[in-house]
Amino acid sequence: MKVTRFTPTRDLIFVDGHVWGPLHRRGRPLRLVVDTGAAETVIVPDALDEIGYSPRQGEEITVMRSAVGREQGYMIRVDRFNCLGHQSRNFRVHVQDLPDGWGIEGLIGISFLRQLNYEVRSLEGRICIERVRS
Amino acid sequence: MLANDTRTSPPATTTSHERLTWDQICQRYPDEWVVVVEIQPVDEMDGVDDVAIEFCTAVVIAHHKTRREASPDVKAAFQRYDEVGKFWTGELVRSMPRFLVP
Repeated sequence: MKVTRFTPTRDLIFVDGHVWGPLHRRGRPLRLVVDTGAAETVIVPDALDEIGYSPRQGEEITVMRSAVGREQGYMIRVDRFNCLGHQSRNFRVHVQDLPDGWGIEGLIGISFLRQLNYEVRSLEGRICIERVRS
Repeated sequence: MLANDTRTSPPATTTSHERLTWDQICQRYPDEWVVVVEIQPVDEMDGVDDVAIEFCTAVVIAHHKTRREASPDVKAAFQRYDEVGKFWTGELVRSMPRFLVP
């Protein structure tokens, strides 16, 4: 069982993750929101650009529709992605810009969370995680 | 801009490469994207595996108004440091709008 701590008084669950790229042997930290309402795990493009990824490595173009319009993104496989005390290799993420004022660089969606059993202890500000498959 | 650039940073409070808590960073660089290095947990957290930036100290090497403006400093910092992060010091998003990916 692993434990990740978050600030329980905030309106969303903010956690830090790490992503690895071709240019750096240490992971680049990211502030993320745990979003069980999102299918994909999202990372903003500039964070991936900083560690050596480019849209040319993308697998698929995506279009995200929201109340304010349509925005293009892409799917890409990153070497390693770590969050909530667990790591995925060759992990597929959705590269999509997010508003600057949100203060985050991505979302943890079901694509990552489905690998885990987790218990959110909101009052304590802790997520207890058990990995069930990789 | 660089954190030790005294043209735009308050000279009385800004010290180049000074280790700060997250609260101190937010007070010193409000509503900005800070580029930080040498991130370390404030103290030993019993049984906690992942520690968010709020519970860490770090050294600010640059600060910018927008996330993209900070990117060149992140890339440059990776030449000198093993771990480099970029974090917003202002208020964080309070709700997630729902998106549709066709």
